[in-house]
Amino acid sequence: MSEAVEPVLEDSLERQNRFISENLRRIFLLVYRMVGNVADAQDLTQEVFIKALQRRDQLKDTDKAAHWLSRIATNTAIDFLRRHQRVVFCELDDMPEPADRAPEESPEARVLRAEREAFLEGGLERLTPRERAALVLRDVEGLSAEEVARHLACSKATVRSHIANARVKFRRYLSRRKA
Amino acid sequence: MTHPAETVLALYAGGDLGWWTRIGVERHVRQCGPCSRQVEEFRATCEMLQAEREALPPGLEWGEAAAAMKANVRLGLAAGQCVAEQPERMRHPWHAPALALPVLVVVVAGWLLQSLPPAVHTGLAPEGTGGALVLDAGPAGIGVERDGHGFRLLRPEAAESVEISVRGDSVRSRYVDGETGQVTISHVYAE
Repeated sequence: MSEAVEPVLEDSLERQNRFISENLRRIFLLVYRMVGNVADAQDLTQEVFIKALQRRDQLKDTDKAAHWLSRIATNTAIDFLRRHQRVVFCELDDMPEPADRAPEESPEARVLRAEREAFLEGGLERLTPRERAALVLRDVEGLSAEEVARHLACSKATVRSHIANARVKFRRYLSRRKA
Repeated sequence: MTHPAETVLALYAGGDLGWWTRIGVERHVRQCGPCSRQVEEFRATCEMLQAEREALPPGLEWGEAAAAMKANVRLGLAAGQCVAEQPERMRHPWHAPALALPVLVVVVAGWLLQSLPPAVHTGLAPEGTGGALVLDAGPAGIGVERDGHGFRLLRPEAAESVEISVRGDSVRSRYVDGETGQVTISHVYAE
């Protein structure tokens, strides 16, 4: 199994482009949930793919390419959050107007979506980088606690502690917002 | 009634407790209204997060953003290759010998100079030999001098038997005192 080198990651430009296209949205959303703003998420997503493709010789197991990429993304986002300590979110009033390119979405739906998004990010902002990573990987990405522990290179007990603290903080935030 | 900690309820709601703890918490939650409500709130939070999984940030035009990111990735990879090519060139096989050769020449030259014997003139050297050491052995005694400066071990006055020998860069004298029979041997080395 470890003998086969992932054809997707071989030096062919076309294959590399396909690899990027297949994973770009997923990695962008993962990074965006963790850092909370579009500009940083775009920069970090690019960084993730550059790192991954520069180190493609390290990847021997073809089945683990997506998992490996997520792991690079998680670590890159955590490093970023640590460097910047906190993520700056814009106020709801300053939120960019939803794009006009989705005709199926009514203006009311777009406003609701923007509110929901701001609501979600407001909760994530209250978490530490590792709590945030643990919550995003467990509850948004749907990874098991064991997988999250592997991503974050820590024990399962530590991950459970991060997840529990994150859920408690998030629930309290939601309760306050509803009140 | 003892309520489970809020963090335990948070883990229970997400299915992250071990089976033994889970059974205990489940039994409690079934009987306790406040804890049951908390668990429901935790579950609603998890569902809300999951529902947002595929949602793009409001206002983001994905097609444009994706194209920009792909282009920047390609640019970053190309820049990385340019930087990486520089050390690659240094790894040519002839570089190591080319660097080692001058070092080797210096080492060999140093060793040869170190192993050469110093210039020794045993009593026959003319005056003013330009800084060379001159070993002097004569009836008055033995000594060494350079540019008119040096020292001499004089022959004792009572010495009857005198032997002076020169060997390489050293001179040796052997005196036997006629009165006491005491033998004095001296060596002078030019270094």
